[in-house]
Amino acid sequence: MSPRPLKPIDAVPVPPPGRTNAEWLHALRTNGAERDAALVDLRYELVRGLSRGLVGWVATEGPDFGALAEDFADEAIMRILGHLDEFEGRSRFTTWAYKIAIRVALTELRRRRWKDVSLDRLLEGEPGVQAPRQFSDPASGPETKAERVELLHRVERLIAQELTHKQATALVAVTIRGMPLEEVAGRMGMKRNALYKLLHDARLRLQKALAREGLTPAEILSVFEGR
Amino acid sequence: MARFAQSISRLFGRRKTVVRIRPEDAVKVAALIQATCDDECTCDDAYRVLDEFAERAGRGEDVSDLMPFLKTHLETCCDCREEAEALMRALGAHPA
Repeated sequence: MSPRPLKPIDAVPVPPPGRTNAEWLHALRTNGAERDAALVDLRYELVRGLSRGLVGWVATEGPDFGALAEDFADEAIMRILGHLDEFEGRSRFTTWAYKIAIRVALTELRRRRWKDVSLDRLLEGEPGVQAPRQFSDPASGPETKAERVELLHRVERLIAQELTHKQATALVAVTIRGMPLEEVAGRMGMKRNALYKLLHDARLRLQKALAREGLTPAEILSVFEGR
Repeated sequence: MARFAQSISRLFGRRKTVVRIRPEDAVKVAALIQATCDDECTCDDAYRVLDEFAERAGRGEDVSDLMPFLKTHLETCCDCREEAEALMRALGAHPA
């Protein structure tokens, strides 16, 4: 994204009273001044929504946020205009537009955050993973520790036995290492939706395998967390 | 022969992956398996209704009727949950 002059969000003029959904659609589908005015208002709405929605993701009060939010809004507007026919009227038009802008923004922010991380590196594990297992509960006795080690081995074995390489890779990357589905999907050459289905199948396989072994997720949680 | 079998298993996606996990990883996996249902909506299904969900949830309405499987999806899909939370913040609502 190219640098732009900074424009603080609170410097954007206050928009006119809100349009109805039908008015938004009509204005954006028409030509000329009415459409131009609607685009200005929509851009303002999106920047305003992003300034609230991206709290915790970026410094929304920082000097660079205005330009960043405008870039996201511009990209979102392109998508919105290309998908107007898909607006079903389930919500206010601006909420639907926010949804698209947030998808645009988070996809880009996730990409930036994870761009230097490969799946291979995630599978190799973080420093410390290969170290002897440490159990943080000092009160747990030798029996509890032994039970935990045995349970960890069972979970590792089930992952190795029940899951395909793709499923195990996705499970480790998403569930254990916390990489976003969108990022893992891109690295695996899949769509996010397909990756979710792959992970769902993996979870079902593990669920059934645990049941076959007479073990429930609740028991695992109980052993490790004392739930 | 072993290499041939390995090639075949790779072709069919059955290559086994040895993963060494920590106690906190086992907790994450177990919690996710616990939340797993046979039928779950996908990311695309969730995205389709996310705007309506965020508006109604933000008004404090009961959204369980909106899509029975959406709640499970948001529990098991971090990306969609983050987007739902961001959308609710954008609307001025506080994510649960």
